[in-house]
Amino acid sequence: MENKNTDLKIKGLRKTFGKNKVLNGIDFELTEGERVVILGPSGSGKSTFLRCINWMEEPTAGKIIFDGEEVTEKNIERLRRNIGMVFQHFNLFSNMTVMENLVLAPVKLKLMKRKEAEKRAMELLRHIGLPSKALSYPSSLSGGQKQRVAIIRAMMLSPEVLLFDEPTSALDPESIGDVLSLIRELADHGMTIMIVTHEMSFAKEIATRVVFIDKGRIIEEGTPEEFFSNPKTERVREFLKKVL
Amino acid sequence: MMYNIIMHKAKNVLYLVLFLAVTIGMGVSVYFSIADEKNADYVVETNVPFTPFEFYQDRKIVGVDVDIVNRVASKMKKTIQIKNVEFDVIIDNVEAGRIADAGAAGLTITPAREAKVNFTIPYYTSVQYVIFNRESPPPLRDDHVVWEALAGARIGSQIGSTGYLFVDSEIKDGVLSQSGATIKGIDSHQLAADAIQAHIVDYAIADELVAKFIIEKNPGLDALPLYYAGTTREDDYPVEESYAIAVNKDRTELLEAFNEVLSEMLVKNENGETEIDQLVLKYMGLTDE
Amino acid sequence: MNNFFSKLAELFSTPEYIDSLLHGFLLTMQISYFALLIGLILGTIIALIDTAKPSKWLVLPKFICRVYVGVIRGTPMALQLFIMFFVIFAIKGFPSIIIAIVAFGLNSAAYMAEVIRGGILSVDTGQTEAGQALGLSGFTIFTKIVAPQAIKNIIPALGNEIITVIKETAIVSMVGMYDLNMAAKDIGSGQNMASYIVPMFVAALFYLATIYLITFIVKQIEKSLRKSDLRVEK
Repeated sequence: MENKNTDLKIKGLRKTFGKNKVLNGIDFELTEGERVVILGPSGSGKSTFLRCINWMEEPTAGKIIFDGEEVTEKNIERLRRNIGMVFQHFNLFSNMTVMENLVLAPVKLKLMKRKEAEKRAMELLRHIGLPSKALSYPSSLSGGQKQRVAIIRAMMLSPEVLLFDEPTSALDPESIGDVLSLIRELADHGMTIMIVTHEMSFAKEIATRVVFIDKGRIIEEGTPEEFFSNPKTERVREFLKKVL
Repeated sequence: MMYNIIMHKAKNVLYLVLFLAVTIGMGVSVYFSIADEKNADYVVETNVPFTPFEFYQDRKIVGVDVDIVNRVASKMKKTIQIKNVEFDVIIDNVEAGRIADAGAAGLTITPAREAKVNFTIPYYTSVQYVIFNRESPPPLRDDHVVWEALAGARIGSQIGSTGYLFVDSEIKDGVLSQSGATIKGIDSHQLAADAIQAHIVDYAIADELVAKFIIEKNPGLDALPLYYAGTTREDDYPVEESYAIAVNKDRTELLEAFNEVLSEMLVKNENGETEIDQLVLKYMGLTDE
Repeated sequence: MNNFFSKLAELFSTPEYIDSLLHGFLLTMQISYFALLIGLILGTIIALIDTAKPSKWLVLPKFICRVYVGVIRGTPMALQLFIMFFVIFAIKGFPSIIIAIVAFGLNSAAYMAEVIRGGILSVDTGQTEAGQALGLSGFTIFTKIVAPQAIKNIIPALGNEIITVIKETAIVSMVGMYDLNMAAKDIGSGQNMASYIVPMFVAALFYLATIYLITFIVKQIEKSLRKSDLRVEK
């Protein structure tokens, strides 16, 4: 494990919205096969941190180095191809069927032929138990179904890293389990994952590393065992007391 | 699914073909209507309808003024285009000379207009008429109406026309001042007459020929000439105006040609009629067919 | 009232009058069609510039677009038409129909731009973000994702604008063009029927029928777009 190449390095990342300083210098490294859970109180900047990684938000300052190459506006599309993202509100393309949602990117990016992409999409749909929804529009899917389709849509590009931005926050309790078990399955297959979540037990179970962000800074990070049973800082102790 | 996609594509192609067909069809029709507007040496502006001087016949402008213009064109061996515009803008456009060289629209010579354009010799004298509802005529003086009879009335006329200018000046500082009479400028003579029947105005003022047309087709209306009151009834004299053609001040060659043609057309024959008179009768008579 | 109906009968039984109305109607349609086409194209361009991500290259174009839309929407169409005819296109022999098409096209563009801008902004930003996250180009995101959704939202307002332009072209009779409105004036003039009311009424029926047809077509398009929105599996 220790000898793996570092995929992603972030140095001195800052982000301000107008006068509002959201990220105040974050240094972070991600290694292949890691599953990083990002925790923190609301408004701490954890979602913004995740969104800066694939330039959903343009960083105000700092460097993002991916596979040894600094990310700029020019090579951003290559980065995004390799870093998938799953959103809180699914963001399936509402004007397209499930199948079209899945094949659009691989076909447009010329990674696969349409036939090939449709075949792959059907395999993934079958895998999540929704092959009958291939020609349905997103509006006819439940929240849990939408989020699972959104996850396999990201998987269609076979990304190196998958970012999850509160993937279960907009779901009813029943659907949460389905989505979490799909993420768990990806983890078991060695997918590199970064996830912002409020599901503490899931975090504890899946994480290889926990990162705690507050006021735009990483306050503490460590293995889930250390973090949950023996936190180093008062701030984390306080936070855990509230959420556990 | 393939079938779906093919159907979808076929439908899109159909819409595209339909769109192109409509666009090309419309484009061709526009092209032909442009081809009608040939590039002429001179442009004469007019305001349709002002029968018998200019009116539409099968959507072509015809009338006395058109005949005069055509005569000038053949005399000068030039092409002249007749263009229909708002009456109000004719004098200004002729003065500017950018889009019009002359105006033939039954224009009356007034000092204000003379400051802006040159006028040809007058070629027709018209009397102003009062159009009124048969059931509520103004006080009459035998076969005519005097200005004083219009005191306190609501009077309609085509905005910018001579009738309008007459009434306006009489209300401002003439016979009708302080009388409570008001003037209402209306889009056309015809609409001014319609306004009587709609009780929007009491009377309408228009040129003799226009007024005669209107009462012929509208049995509820009548019209009589408008007179200035003299000291005695016999001394009353009509409100007259003389039509002339307005020409841009720099187009002296055009002015000369117009004057030449008009003097030819104003020569009286053995019956005491001029060619202009005959044309007026001809175009007025057109409706009797 | 009797008079009204007898005049109505007279109008419909006189082929020359019907012919005049149809010719006028054709001009009304010619101007409206091409004006709307120009409006749609130019309006789309303005809306795209207006909704594009701010950058230093777009500062001036964005400013121009905003001023343009403001001026056009802030002044009466009749004045714009007069300025086109007697100031900007004060060129001897220039075809009136082209001037009218340009005048109405430029006017419509400003309104269309606002409609289209609203349609684009109504599409959830999450849709764009999802496209970006998949590494799609801005062009693909716009043409495949944002535009189709925006169009659905735009259709009703666009139909409205089509209707407005068709009716508004009636003012070209002010510059002497023989449109439907002028045809009514011609038929109503002294040497013809010498009454405006009936021809005006019939011209109004022409406008009404046209607009009814367009409303129907727009409703059909709207319906077919909504259907795809809720289509469930086969």
